[in-house]
Amino acid sequence: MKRLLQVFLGVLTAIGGFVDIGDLVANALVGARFGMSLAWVVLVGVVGICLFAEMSGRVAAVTGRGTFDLVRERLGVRAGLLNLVASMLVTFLTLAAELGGVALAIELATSVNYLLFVPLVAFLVWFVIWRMPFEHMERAFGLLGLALVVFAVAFWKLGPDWGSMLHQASHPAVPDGEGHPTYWYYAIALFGAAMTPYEVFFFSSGAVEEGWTKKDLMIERINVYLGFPLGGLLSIAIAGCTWLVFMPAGVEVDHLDQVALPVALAAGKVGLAFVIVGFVAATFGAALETGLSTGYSIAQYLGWSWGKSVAPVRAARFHAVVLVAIVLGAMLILTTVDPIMVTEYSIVFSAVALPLTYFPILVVANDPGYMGEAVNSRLTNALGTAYLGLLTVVSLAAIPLMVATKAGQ
Amino acid sequence: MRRGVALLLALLTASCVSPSRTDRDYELKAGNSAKAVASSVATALLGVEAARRHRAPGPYLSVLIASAEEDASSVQSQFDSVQPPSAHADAQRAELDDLLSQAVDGLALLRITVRRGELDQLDTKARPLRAVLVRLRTLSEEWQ
Repeated sequence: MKRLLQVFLGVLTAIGGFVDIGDLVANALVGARFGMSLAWVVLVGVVGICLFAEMSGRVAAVTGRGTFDLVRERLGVRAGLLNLVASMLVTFLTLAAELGGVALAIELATSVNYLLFVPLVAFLVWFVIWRMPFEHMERAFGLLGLALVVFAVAFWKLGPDWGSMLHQASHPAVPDGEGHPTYWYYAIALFGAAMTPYEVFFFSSGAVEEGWTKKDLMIERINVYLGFPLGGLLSIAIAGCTWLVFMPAGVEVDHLDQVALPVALAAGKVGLAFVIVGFVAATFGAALETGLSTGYSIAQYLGWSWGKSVAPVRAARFHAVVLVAIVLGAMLILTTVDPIMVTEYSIVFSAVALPLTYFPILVVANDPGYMGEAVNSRLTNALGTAYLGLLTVVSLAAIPLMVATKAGQ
Repeated sequence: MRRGVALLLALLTASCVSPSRTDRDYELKAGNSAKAVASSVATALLGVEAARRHRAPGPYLSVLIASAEEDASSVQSQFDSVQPPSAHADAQRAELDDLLSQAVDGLALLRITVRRGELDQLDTKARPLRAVLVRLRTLSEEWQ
């Protein structure tokens, strides 16, 4: 019974923790401009993140070591450094975007300018990382993030034409008035949002923090294979809501406040309250994950002692990196740069860095020297290699498309 | 050295004003500005609809409408900085700028109304904006 509850909570946490500021913005924006014609990208992204998250979790459970520790050892210092720098830049931008996202979500409830909340949010993120046990932290914000299920309720209440929705999703086409480059630019942004690199760093490092072993692999797989796809459905529901409300009105999504509007129209003030709680939980949870990921990555690469389960005095450099990243992220947002713009850039740069993140995981998960019998199966390898090809194409196309479309305008 | 500095200054000052070399180019920029402001106005009107049905509280509506106003105002400033290339473009500029001003003023009125807590008056005060939205959409389609 206890095991069942553990699985159930794990799946719920995975669903609630799946959506972050990047998913919120990208899906809302894409739904309003392209309807459901890019829903297939979410599907491709979810399969990809399931594949590599399972791989990285399995590596952590079998070896008991973090991703960057193994990457440096397996690929060498230089390749590991390139991987580290690329991933860190994207993770830092994402951290800043999440901090801004929490502040923007609080602004929706208070109408007090979000910049005033940024220092407080940054302090709370650091404080939770410093004080709250890992499992409680992950579970609390993952479960609160489930409030975003209200998007699925709102979508249903808005009364979509299910036939038209399925047709759009299964027969993707570029809508009138949109160009092919813009369509593909947003496809890449959506893909980058679904496969953000920090998700696997956090997932695998979290597995080490929680002391996973081979015995936990079944629970890990259930969490990933059930939780992430359901989280993906939540992303599609967000796109569906903006498609139904904004597309007919010719509204383009540029702000977080707009993302909540379809829910207010469909489910009223209670629905809006759920959305705001969900926004805060999703962005706060992701700020914790990205903040920790910066510390995990650098500490693992440099061979420092790391982790929340280690006494801070023994992992001082790890905690210092986390603190500096949070302070710098808050400072970036306090320059008054638009957090939504930071989010949009972070997901596109995330797409650029994808092969650097996922290639080493595939290599390590396929190495019997580390994995023994738990090495990748042929099917996993075939899928992993196919995805690596896709990630390379996406990575090469992202910047040219960004320039050609003036960042999707 | 002086020529280099002069060239740099010329480039920097030129970048302050968005160039439009042809009437068609200017028309496209005007059409895109109309479309962007129409999006802001439509957002605010959806917010008004939510208020009319008692489905959104004041603080949220205040943020939503203030963002829409800020965006519309920013688009208007950018459009105003574009140099019209001909007399024909001057006429387009006058027509659209008048409409953009009406949109920004209408959104400001909604923001003031929300912040005074007079949510029941929003629907009445939003009426002129509906006509502005129709005209913005017409121009946006005409000039694409």
